[in-house]
Amino acid sequence: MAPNEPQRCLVPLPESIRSLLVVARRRLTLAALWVRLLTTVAVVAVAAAAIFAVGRMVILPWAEVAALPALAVALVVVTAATMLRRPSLGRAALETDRRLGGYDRVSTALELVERPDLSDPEMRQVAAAAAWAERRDASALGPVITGGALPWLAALGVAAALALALVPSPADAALEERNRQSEAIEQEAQRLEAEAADLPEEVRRQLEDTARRLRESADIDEALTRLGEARERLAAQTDPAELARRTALAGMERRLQQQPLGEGETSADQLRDLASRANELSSAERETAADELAQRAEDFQGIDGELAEALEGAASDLQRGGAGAEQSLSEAADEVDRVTSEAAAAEAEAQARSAVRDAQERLDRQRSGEGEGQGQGQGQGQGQGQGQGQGQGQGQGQGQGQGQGQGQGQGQGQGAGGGGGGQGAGGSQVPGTPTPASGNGNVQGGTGDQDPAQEPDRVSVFDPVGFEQGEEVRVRLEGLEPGELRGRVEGEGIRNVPLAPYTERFAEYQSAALEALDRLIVPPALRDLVRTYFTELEPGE
Amino acid sequence: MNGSPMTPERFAGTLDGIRKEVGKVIVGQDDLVTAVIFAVLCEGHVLLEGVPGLGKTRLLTTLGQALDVSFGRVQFTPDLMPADILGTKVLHENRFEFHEGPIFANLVLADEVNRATPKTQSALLEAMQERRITLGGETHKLPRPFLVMATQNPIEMEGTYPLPEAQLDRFLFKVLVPFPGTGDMVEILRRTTTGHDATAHAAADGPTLLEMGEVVRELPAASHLLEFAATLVAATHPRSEVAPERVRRYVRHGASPRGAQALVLGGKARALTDGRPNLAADDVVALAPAALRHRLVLGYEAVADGVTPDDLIGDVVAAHPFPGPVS
Repeated sequence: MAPNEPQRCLVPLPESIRSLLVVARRRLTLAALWVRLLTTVAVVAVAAAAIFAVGRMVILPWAEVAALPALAVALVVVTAATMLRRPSLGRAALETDRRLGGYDRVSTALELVERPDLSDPEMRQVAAAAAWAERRDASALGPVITGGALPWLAALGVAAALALALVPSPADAALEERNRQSEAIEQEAQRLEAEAADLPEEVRRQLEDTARRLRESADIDEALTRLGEARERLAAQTDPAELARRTALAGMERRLQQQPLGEGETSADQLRDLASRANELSSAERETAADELAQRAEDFQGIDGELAEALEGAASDLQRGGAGAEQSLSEAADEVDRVTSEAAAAEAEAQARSAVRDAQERLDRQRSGEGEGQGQGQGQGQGQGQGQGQGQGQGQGQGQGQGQGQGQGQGQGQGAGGGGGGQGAGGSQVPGTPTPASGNGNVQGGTGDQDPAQEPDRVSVFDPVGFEQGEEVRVRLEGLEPGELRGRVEGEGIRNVPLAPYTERFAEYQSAALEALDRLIVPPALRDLVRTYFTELEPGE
Repeated sequence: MNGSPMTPERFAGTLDGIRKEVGKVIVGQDDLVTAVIFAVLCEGHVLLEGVPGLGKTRLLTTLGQALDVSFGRVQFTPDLMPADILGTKVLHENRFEFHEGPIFANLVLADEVNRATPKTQSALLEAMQERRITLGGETHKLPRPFLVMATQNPIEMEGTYPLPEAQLDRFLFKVLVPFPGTGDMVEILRRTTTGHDATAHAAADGPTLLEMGEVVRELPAASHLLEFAATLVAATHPRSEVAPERVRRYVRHGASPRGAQALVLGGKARALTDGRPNLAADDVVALAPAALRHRLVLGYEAVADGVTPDDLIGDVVAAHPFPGPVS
């Protein structure tokens, strides 16, 4: 003890008062906890109800997800804060005096016992307070859980929040649609990544970057835009010459699969097999094989001179029946391998572009589904078809259009034999409001004297664009059955356009068509048709 | 009267005896009797406001009998001089002798104090505060216990000299004397018109009263109750942050610290009277009107709007509820 420290003579707090205060303090704590929890529930419920109400008009995807955790966190925080800041003993003493009619006996005694020296009246007060506390029942402090308006307010808030959360609203459908779109976008992103796994490094990075950008899209429209941009980037870096070479190569592969020159899965294997049997071939077999190789050589004219030359040389050697045929055929096979190897990069780019295009189409169909869900109207619209044909034949086509008010269609025709005709049918599809329209196809059959029963061995594509409407055009046909094709131009064309080999022009057409698909110019319903069209028209088919 | 120490039990017993003796003569007026007894215990002075004929003089006479102390009465008039109250020196056998005035009594009734001139009022009020008088260079102590009960007639204000605020502040309580109810009136008639004149007997004496006053002062009062009393007084000031809106609007000057002293001291007396060992918030609140109403200086707006000090004290108490058993 310090020398100058005044001696303190504290009176211990009587046990009767202490026990009463402990009960009162616990009761105060629980009562405060009850009120604060109820207040918290009421506040959170009212806030949640307000947010849910707003969420019925504006999409708030986090609203329902965040409500329960927010309530739980708030309750935990309130409980912890209440327990950490429990009422003091003095507050409990006041509460005891108030509840039990103590007339400040307990609170005064609590203060007096802290004083150093008590006078007789003060000692008497403490003793009297202790005696008074002894006679008091702690249960008289009253219930902890109190009624009043607060429980009803909390219950009302919870009921309102539940009602607003459970009753469906238009925003729920919109939110569901957004989730559906997000899932679809995520699926497409995963597909792109899976597709990218097997591709070369450069293309893989591009596809992965496309997948990443796809995930950042807010909705399908933005995703489609980003996919379109990706396709444009991929298309821009595609060398047209490579594309033509790949197309020609693919045509040759298909052709030789249908009419094989020898054993083997690939063209090169067949050429090698043919080379191994070159000395054993009959004259007719050599002739047929030489003709086939000559035609394939022509396909590669202007695309890959070395391969064309090798194929041409092999055809010549076969036709001559000399001993060099085996060598020529082997060299041609090597050239095919070389072209195949060189076309691998273009193939990868094409594969990537195809993957992006497929994702784009699937997402576009997903978006179309949204319109159908809201209402669909469909009618036959006024359509105008364009046909292209060669030879004679009656074509039938079918088109569908989509648009506002008036349908716009494209027709595609197929005819038996070498002729084709177009028949267009327009359809009008206006989401929400059915628009009746009458459809009327315009058949434009091609004319010519080509025998429809005989398939032309070579086809030249006529581009009618640029010619005067109604102008008569004569097209000279080459091949096994040379002839002339006559027709009248429907629409404008380009004057004095030179005719080009099909394999060259096809690549341009296909590229333009893919670009149109990229830009979503072609109506969704017709995209498969366009793709099928160009697939079937690929050289060799 | 009794040599035993003043315990709470003896205090309560003595007080009960005093009440009984006063009750033999005085009918009703419980609040008045209680306030006067509290004032006696606190050695404070009381200002009574009520119409004539309500038994104010009778009360003090009876109280003097019950307490067995001296009683003096002064009827204040405009020509009353200070010497008429305090006393004067008279030449007697070639020397001046001091003749004590009526103020030299344990209980002094200053009837209609507002009718005397300010000079005379001031002499009385100075004696009330100092509990002694100085005359001709000699100081004379007033007897203990010493209680002045001054009366004012609120209905005859013409030709009067209202007490200044500083002098009002020296009264511990201001008690409004109400007109008795019909039942009390019947009892008054029964006692005063039958020739049977009740008389109070002594239930205490001066030393006992002083002893009881000591017990009152020593009664424990917790700090939060002193704070409560101080807060109430602070709330009567219009520029105080804790003042209610009507106090800010109608009060020109609030109560002085003497008001807080009156609250606590009177509250202790009340607690002891109820047999409790400590001051309670209930005591403070119960005595707030008597202790504060004469200490509030109201503005003209209050008079115009008919707002009384008791209304404003009610606002103050309502604005600062104590978490105790306030009744």
